[in-house]
Amino acid sequence: MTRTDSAAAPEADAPRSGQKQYVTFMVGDRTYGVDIVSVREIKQWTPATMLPNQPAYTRGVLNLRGTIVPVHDLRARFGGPLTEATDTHVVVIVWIGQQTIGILVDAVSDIITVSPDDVRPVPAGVGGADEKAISGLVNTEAGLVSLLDLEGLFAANSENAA
Amino acid sequence: MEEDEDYEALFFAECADLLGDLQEQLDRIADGDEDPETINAAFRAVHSVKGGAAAFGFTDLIGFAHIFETVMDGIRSGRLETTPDLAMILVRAGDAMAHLVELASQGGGEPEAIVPRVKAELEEVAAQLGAEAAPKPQPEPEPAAESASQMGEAASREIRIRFAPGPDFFARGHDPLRIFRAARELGLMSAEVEGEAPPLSDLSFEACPFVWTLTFDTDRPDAEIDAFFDVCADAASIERLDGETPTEPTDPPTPTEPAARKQPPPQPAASAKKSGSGVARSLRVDLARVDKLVNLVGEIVITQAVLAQKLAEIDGAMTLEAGHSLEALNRQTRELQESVMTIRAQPVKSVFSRMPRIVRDLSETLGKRARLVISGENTEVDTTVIEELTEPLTHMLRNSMDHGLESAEERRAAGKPEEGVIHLSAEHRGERVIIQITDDGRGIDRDRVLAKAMERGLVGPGESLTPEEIDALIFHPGFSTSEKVSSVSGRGVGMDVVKKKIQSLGGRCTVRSEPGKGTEFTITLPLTLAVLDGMTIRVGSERFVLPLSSVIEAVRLEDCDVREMHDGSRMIGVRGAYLRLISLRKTLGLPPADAPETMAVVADTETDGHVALLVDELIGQRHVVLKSLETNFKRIDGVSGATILGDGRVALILDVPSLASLGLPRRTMQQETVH
Amino acid sequence: MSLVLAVDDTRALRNMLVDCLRSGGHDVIEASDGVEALEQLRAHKPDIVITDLNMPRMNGLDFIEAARREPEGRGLPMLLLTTETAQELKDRARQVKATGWIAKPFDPDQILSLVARLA
Repeated sequence: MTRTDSAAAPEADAPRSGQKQYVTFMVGDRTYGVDIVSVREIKQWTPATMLPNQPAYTRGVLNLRGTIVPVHDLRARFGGPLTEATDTHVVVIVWIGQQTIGILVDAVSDIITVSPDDVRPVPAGVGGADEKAISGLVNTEAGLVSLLDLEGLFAANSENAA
Repeated sequence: MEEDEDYEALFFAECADLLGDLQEQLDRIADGDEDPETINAAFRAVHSVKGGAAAFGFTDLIGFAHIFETVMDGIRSGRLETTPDLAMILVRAGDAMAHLVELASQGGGEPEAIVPRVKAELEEVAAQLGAEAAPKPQPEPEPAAESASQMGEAASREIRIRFAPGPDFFARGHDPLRIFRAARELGLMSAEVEGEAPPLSDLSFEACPFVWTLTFDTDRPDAEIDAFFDVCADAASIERLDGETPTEPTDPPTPTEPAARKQPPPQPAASAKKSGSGVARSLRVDLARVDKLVNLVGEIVITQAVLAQKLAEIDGAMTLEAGHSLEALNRQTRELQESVMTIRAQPVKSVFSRMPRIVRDLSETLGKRARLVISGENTEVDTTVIEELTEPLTHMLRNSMDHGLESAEERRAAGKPEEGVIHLSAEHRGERVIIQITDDGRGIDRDRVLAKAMERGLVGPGESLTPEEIDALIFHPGFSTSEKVSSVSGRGVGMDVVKKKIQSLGGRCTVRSEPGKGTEFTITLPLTLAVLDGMTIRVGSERFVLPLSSVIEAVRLEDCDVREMHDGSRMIGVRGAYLRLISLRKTLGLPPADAPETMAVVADTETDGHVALLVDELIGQRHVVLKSLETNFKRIDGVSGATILGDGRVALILDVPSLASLGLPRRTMQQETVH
Repeated sequence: MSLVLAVDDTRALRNMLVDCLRSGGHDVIEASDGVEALEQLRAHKPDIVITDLNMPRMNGLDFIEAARREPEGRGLPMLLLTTETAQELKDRARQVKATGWIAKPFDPDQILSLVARLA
């Protein structure tokens, strides 16, 4: 991982070829990253409308300027308790394929630029059943960042009954 | 081939319009309308279908449309008289053609017997037109019909052609220079003007005074060279100077033919032009674009509601002026919404116009004489609704023809005219569209319906039902009173299917019947699927919307008799009937209540009678914009979609029938809940 | 390449014609009947017209006849696209000074080669 090294350039400057940018955010003391291309916007948490018999980690649906967007709790998705969400929590709105969903996290921390060489594979057997949820690991000055595979994480949810 | 499929799809879409028009014109002709424009419009519709069929190679359709067109042309030119018999043949021909189009759209299949029969009738009529006008089995090759690219090579040789433009050569849009330029590809070496050019003063715009000798050095076959000149063979004299003249295509208009051998029949073009001024200009727009607009407007409606609520919360912000502006915005937004919704609206005519054929077919199959009277066909409904209406309407008409109308003998005995009458009507009533099918038949045979219902265990012995309740039994799943399974109503497909379909469109379906006088089916549909009238309710801290179309009434629990059953399920007595009491809290998986609910909303499940839904509060009625949950999530049982309330929060729209079935332990339907 | 005015009230057939012409590198303007075609003719001065025969409001023959009276229509190649083959029609086509006709269903190569010869 190369935190964009030039002193003149802020961390969010344009990546060089082959490099990718990730938005990172915190859940407890863990840091996760998603490809910046998938991120549509970041919203302050507002109470969501619950859905009948929703998955345990789903918080309900939000109104995102007229579209109905489901919000999933990342902490609960990784087996933790439901987040006690407040005004300071944020929802990262991302695209997964054709769908838009929200991910409830504690806080957004940074934008990092990563070369493909810096991405380490997740060792087999780590992550348990959620092996597919993390696409790779990146070691940064600020600590280890787990790169999320959004499809692997939430795709099971998005399939339509039809 | 994908592109071809697109053309085909477009062609079939246009065919639907054309056939609808045709049906209308033919019905008018059958009613004695002899307006040339009516006949001409019918001719054009047949012709257009034929043109498309030819382009896509639908052989059966081409053949049929061709003879049909020949007959229509005979009428148009006054060579055939539209007798009532002929008018009926035309109407049948319209039906048969519609059937052939349908077959073609399904990728083929064996045409029904009506097709060859009507075709024979048309051929008989066409025979009166004499040999000249009789349909030719094969379209003759046209002057320019051959494709140069399809021809092979020939030995290289010199060909000389004398090219003498006729007097209207220029006037008809030919240009010798362009032709010669194009001819270079065929090996044209030179074009020399014959003799002396006439003085300039003699040049007229229309006539070409020159005669050329064209010299080719070419390896192309003669036929290709000939074909090249076919396009102007009509306006110029073309002669081979090396002995033989170009081979004539089998029957082209040759340059030597007199220009105007005989006067064509007067074209009804003048009237066509006249009526043109009344034609509404229209535009075909991709539905996706319209939907985008509808969604945007929906968002504006919501934003406007949010704005109003926020302003109301700020002290002093609601000054008089702000209030006025807000009111104006409110009104304009509504108007905008309404006009956008009308874009999606289409007259029900496209569906209604298919019904006369069904009635005619059934008339024949069942041997019952019946007349379909249609009114209100210009009533507009959301386009999605229209697409879905054909099936239930067809089914209801079948039902009326099969069960409603009596045989001719029965009718005579009852002192009724032998011909039964079925009215199909549509009208707007407020925010809804009412479609009715009324017949003057025998009415629902309540004794038989009741007996059947008891036999099937739908009604307990000794249970007494009102006549209306008995009538409503025909919508019960699987119910069919037909003693023998007729090929018309079919097996196992009952009125419950109709009701389900209508209900899936956000509508309801009811029946009224009077013994001996007839039966009336009423379908009530929302004007649009994107907006609905709802009742906002609260359960715990969550708000939900119930479609007003399923809400019957709200009751306070303290006013009613609530009974608990041995299995813990509860019933509530409302107006003498016991209804199943459904806890929304439990069914929807909401956190348990601090205090028990105090109210219930009686709602119609459409198929299984009424149920009572426990709620904490009725908040009020409102117009809501339907939003899909499936766009970003998935379908959820018991919920038809979501909407956004004035405060910007999402509220789910409940689907009563699916809620009611959710509340049931698996599939054991309780018969007591039917009523 | 030429500017072609394609006139047909049947959208599917018009699209086929337009796509065929575009594939030959031509620019195409469209009209769905004779009245519209006259407007297009005046507004865009096409190099060649290919028109259907039977259309609402104004049919192909009437259109050609009217177009010939317009300055833009004088000497303009105008082809009739038709399934009809009656001699009467051919006579009438000559009378209104149609340049020629093309049998439906048309062969794309034939259309392109005709346009090349005429426009």
